[in-house]
Amino acid sequence: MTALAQGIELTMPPRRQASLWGDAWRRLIRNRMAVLGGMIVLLLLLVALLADVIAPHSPTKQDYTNIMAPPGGQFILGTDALGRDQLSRLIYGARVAVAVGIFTQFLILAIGLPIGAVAALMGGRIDNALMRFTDIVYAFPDLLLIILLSTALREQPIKSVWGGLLIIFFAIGVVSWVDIARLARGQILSLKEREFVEAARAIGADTAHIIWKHLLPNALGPIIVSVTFGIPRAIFTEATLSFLGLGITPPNPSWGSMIQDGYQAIFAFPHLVLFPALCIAITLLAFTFLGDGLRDALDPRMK
Amino acid sequence: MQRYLIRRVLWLIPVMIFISLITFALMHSVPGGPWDREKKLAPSVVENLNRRYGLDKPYWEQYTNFLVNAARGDLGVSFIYQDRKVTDVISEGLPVTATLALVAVGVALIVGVPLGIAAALRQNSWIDYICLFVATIGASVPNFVMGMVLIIVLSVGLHLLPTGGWGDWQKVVMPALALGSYPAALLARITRASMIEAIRQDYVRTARAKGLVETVVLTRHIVKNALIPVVTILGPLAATLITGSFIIESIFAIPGVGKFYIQAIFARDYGLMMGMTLFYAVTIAVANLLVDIMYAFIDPRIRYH
Repeated sequence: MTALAQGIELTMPPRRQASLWGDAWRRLIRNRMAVLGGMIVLLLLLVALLADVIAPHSPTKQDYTNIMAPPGGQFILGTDALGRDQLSRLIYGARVAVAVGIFTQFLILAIGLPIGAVAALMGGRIDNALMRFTDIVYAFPDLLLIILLSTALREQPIKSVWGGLLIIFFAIGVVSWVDIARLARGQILSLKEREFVEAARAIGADTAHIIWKHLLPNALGPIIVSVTFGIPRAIFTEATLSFLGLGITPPNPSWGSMIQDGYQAIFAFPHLVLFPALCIAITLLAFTFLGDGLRDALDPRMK
Repeated sequence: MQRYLIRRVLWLIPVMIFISLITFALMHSVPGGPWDREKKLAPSVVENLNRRYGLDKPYWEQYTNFLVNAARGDLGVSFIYQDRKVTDVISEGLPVTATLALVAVGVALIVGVPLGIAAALRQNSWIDYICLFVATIGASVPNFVMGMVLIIVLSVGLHLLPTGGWGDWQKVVMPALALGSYPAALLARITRASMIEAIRQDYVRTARAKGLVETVVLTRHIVKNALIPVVTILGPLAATLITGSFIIESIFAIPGVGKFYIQAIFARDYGLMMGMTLFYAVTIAVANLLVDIMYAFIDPRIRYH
């Protein structure tokens, strides 16, 4: 105020170069829960990648001299009813969880993005038809359709591919693309009317250039957030399916099927249920905190 | 409003046709069939069974028969429990499932709404953080994991409650908590967000400015308006409760509809599965429709066209 009154020229501090992603990153690392979630997610990724190296035993080898061994000693977290090392099964279970979480997202993006983008860009009758189709799939209760699909697919030859994982990828992917399709359509619809797209068009940019350089990068933030929330949802679904016996094929370990196995003897050996349950809970919480943090970081207006 | 209603109800028809068609196609794409037993049935027996259930007819005829019957309220028969109608199975399990779902919703309302309100009133205080943390746990931990943890703590550890069954109140507590945790978390989050929004509104400032007592401002102006968006999640909640009931009823050995559904999946009882899938889909679609209509009545700003 006084500076202005005296007519002295104000020296502005040099403007910090701030990109959208740099700003988002700074906001993200200031969020303690998101950082904690991110670190747990990184740890989970490492465990999944290095499962062969860090697992002390084979996850499927049955040791009949050590059935239901208590935690401690040779088997750090004990063994299950078939004498399999629980820690090793949890470690390989992390691999299943990560694989399901990530690969389903690729499938979901591969189906959802083109449908949403085509609907938004073509408009008119194509938009209408695609969105009605999306609405119908949306009306089908998710888990119901996933259960039906995996029940039917388990009778087909593909059931043994990747220990039953292919069925899970497929069932979740085919059902869960709806949110991404709607999101992508909404984003592109609102973006394509914006001035910078108009400007690009005015200077003669072709459609492909506009889609790749202007529409998709700007729609990326919400899509990343949606994918971050999609990963725990897929892990959640896989655990539920495996818990119901509709997921991964035994003897391959999945946290969900481990809970189901352990549930038979929950009174005598509650730790066989507790550890996989904690793994699921912590993993899902970590992704949720990371997702919340990313959402706040990428779009501060949304809360 | 009327035109909107008619359009919404008519829209249910293609949705139901799609759902039944997908269910039908999936069920019939499965090799083997409902008559697969350890001991093989004689071909003549299989033939008779097929004729009895109309499975010898071409697919399109089976499907149209199913649709026509379903439109009349007949969802077909179970293949495994001889002669049991799907509608009988549903009406047997429904009171149990509905009781469980209502108690779960009750738990969710009692826990979620006050938690959300308290968090919004003391934004960024410890109560707010506790609310958000509890809500995040409730929203991200699967109900069967929640159920298992409850069993380990309350049954195995403290010997307080039975692990399963149905009939007295002790047996409802854990399943209702497990089933209600997700809705409670959702309610807490939505209530909090919508309260924070409502507190900032001009009409709240006006109410305070004209000298209204704070409790009246809070109850009449803030909470009453803040609860409007909460209604919107009641629709998706129906789907959550239904799919949640499959798992919770299986864990806690509760004789509800969900347990029958899971049993039907394992017995490959296509008749029961198709009928029940359609029943679930209709229930969820109707719940969503009711919520949308209710919303228009509660919030006069909303007009449907």
